Amino acid sequence: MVFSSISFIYLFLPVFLIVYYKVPEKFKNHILCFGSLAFYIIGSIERPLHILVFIICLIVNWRVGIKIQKTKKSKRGLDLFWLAAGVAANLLNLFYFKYMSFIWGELGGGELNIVLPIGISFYTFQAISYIADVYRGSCHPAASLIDFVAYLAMFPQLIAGPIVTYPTVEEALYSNKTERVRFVSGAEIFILGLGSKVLLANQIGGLWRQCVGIGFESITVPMAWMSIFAYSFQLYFDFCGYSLMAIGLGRMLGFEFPENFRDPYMAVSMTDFWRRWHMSLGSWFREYVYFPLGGSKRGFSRTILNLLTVWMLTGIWHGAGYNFILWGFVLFVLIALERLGLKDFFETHRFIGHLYMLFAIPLTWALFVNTDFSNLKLFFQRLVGLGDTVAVFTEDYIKYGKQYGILLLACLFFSTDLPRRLKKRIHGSPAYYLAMLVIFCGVAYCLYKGMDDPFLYFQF
Amino acid sequence: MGKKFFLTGLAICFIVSGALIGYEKISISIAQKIALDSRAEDLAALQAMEYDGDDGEFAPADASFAEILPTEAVSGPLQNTENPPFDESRPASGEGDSGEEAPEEPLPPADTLSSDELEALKRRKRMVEYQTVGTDYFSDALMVGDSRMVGIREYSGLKEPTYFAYTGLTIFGLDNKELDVKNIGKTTFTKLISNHHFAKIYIMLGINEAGSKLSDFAKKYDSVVADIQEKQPEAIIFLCANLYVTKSKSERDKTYANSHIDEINAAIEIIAGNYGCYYLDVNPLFSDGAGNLSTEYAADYAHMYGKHYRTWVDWLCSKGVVYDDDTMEIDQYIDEYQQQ
Repeated sequence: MVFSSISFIYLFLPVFLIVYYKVPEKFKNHILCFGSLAFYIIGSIERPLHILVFIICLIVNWRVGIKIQKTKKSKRGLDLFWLAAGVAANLLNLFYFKYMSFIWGELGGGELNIVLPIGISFYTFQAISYIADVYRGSCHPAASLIDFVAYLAMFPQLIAGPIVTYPTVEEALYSNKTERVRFVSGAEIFILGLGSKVLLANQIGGLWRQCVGIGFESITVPMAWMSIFAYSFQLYFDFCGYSLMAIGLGRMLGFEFPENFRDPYMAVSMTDFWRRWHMSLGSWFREYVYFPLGGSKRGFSRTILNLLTVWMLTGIWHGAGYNFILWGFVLFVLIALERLGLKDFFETHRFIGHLYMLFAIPLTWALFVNTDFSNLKLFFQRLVGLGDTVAVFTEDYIKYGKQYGILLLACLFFSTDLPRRLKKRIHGSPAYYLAMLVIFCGVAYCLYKGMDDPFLYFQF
Repeated sequence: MGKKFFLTGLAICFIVSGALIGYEKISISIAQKIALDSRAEDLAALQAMEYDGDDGEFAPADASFAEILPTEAVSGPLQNTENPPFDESRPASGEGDSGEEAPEEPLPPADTLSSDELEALKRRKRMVEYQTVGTDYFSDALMVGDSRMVGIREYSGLKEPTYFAYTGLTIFGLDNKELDVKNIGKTTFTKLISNHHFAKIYIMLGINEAGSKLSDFAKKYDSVVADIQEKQPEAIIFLCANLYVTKSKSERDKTYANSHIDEINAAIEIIAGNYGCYYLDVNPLFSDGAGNLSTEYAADYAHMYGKHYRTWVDWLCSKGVVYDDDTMEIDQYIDEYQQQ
C-alpha cells in the first residue's frame, strides 16, 4: 500500500489516525505496533512468507537487543557475539532475498525468481543500527516487544525510509505523544510529498518510460538526453516525495524523522550531492560502516579503502546487478577524486560545479537505471550520437518536447532551492495554506482520473 | 486563523474528493464488472446475429446469403471465430482460394437483382487473394488507430498514407476527436471521410475500449464501418485486430487480458464479415505462441519497440488487395444496378 494511493489516503490513514488519537496515552504504542503490522500485512497479503520473515525479524532483533544488554553486564565478549550473530542474521536474510537470485543465476544455477519482500532493505538496516546502538550503549533496548515493533515497523518509514535510528525516536516513543503530535505541520509536509510524487514524479516518469518502450536504438540524441533528465527528476521527486510523506506522517503521530533530501540537484560536487541525497542512508553508512572502519583517521590509503567499501556497499544496497556495482564504483572514483582537491575547486567555482553536476548526476543515474549492460552501452552511445540505429523517428524530441517541456521546466524549478525559500517567506499565510489545498486537490484529481498509477495513466 | 482555514479547507477537500473518488471508482468497477460479465454473452449474440445495415439493428442471419454464395456459408463468421487468434489472416468473408472460384459464377441480369443479392455481390467482390504490394500502395490509404498506429506512423518508415492516429483514440472518439492530419489540417474522422477520398481505409481500434461493454463497442464499430461504406463506397476497408498485451499484463489485468482482446477481435472479425471488409490479424507475427505479445518485441506491456514496426508494415504489404478484372466487372455491374 503506497502512501499516494486511494486506499491509504482515504481509508487506512483516517481510520488509523482516529484510533491513534482516541486511545489513551498508554495504548498509543500498541496502536502503532498493530496498525503498522496491519499496514505491512495488507501490503504483502499475497506473500505470507514475507510477512512471516518480517515477524521473525522483529522478534529476533528484539531478543538480540535484550541479550546484548544482559551479556554486557555479565561476561565481556558475549555481547559482541550476540551483536555479530544479530548482524549476520540480518544480513543473511537480506542477502538471501536480495542477492541470491542474481548470484545463483551468475553461477549458472538457473532462475530462482526470489521476490524481494517490501521494505527489507530499510528494515534490515534499521534493525542492524538498533542492535549496534544497544551494543554501543547509545540507547537502551526497547522496553517491550510492542515498543520495539512500534519503532521498527512504524508504517510511515517502513517501506521506503528515511532510515530512522532508534535513538532518534527513543524519547518520543516513551513520552506523551498527544503533546508531541503536530498534525497541521505534518499534514503540510505530507501534502508536499504527495504533490511531489503524484504531480511531478509520476507525470515526468512517462517520458523515460516512452524512451525505454521505443528502444534506445530508435531514439534521437536530444531524446536520449531529455529522457535521462526526466528519469533523474522522476527518481528525485518520487523518493523525496516518499520521504516527505513519511516525515509528515511521523509528525502527525508525534515523531520527528530526520531530513532525507536537501535540494540535492543544487549540489556542486558528488560529495556534496550525496550529503544532500538520501541523507539517512549516507549517515547510516558513515555511522555503522565508515567510522567503525576507521573513517579518514587511519591514513590516506586506508581512507580510500574505506570509501571504496562504503560506495561498493551503497551500490549493491540499491540492487543486485553489475550495473549497481559499476555505479557504486563510479561514485567512489568521483568522490575519491574530489577528496584529492577537486571538491575545493568546485566549492569556490560554483558555476563549474553546477555544470559538472548537470552531467554527472544524470549520467550516474543512467548507470543506475539500465540493468542490462548491452542496453546501458547503447544508451551511452545514443547520448553522443553513436551506436547502430534502427527506425529512428527523427522528430521524437519535438513531439515529446511539446508533451513534456513544461513539466521538465517545472521539475527544474522545483529542484532548485527557490520553492524552499518561497515556502519560508509565505509560511503560515493564507496564501500558503491555499497552495497546500490546491496541491491536495490536484493530487485528488489525479487519483480520480487514475493518473496516480503511471501504469494506468499510460494509455494505448 | 491560517491554520483553522487550512484544517477546515482540508476537511472539505478531503470529504468532497473522497466522495467523488469513491463514487467514480465504484461506478467504474461496476461498469467494468458488467462489461466483463456480459462480454461472452455479447460475443455469442454477435456471432448468432448478422447485422442489418438498414435499420441499424442486429437481425438474425439471413439464409438467402448462403444460398447465393455457398462458399461464404462455410467460412462465415461463426466458423472463423472458433480459433481466431492463431489463424492466419484472411479476408473475413471467404478463404483466399474460394476467391478464385466465386467470380466465375455467372452474374444474373442486373434488373432481376434483389437488394439482398446485391449485398452478396458486394461481398463477392472482396474475395480476392492477398497480394504483396509496395509502400506506394498506401499513398491513397487512410490509417486510423490508437497508439499502435501512432507507432507505425513514427517508427515504420511508412510515410505514404494519411494517418488519423492518436494515443488513446477510441471508436467512440471518431466523431468528436479533432486531430491535426498532415496536409489536411485539424479534422475529426467523420469530417475527414466526408471531405476526402481514400482508396483504402485501415482501422485498428479496440484496446482502449476494453473497459466498455462489448456490445456497445461492436454497435459503434459497426456504425462507423457502415458510415465509411456509405461515404467511401469504393474504398477497400481493412479492419485490423488489436495487438495483444504481454503475458504478465494479461494475467494481472482482467480488462486487458488477451482472452478479452480475442473477444474484441472476434467482434471486429464478425463485423468485417458482415460488411465484406478484410480482417487483418497481425498477432501471430508477434505472439509468444501462447496468445500473448512476446516480450521479445515489447519493452512495456503493450507497445512494441520502435524497430519492430517495420516488420509490421512489411506484413501489411503482404496483405494488399488489388481488384482484378472480375471484381471490376462486379463493380460496374453494381453501378449499373444502382443507376437503374
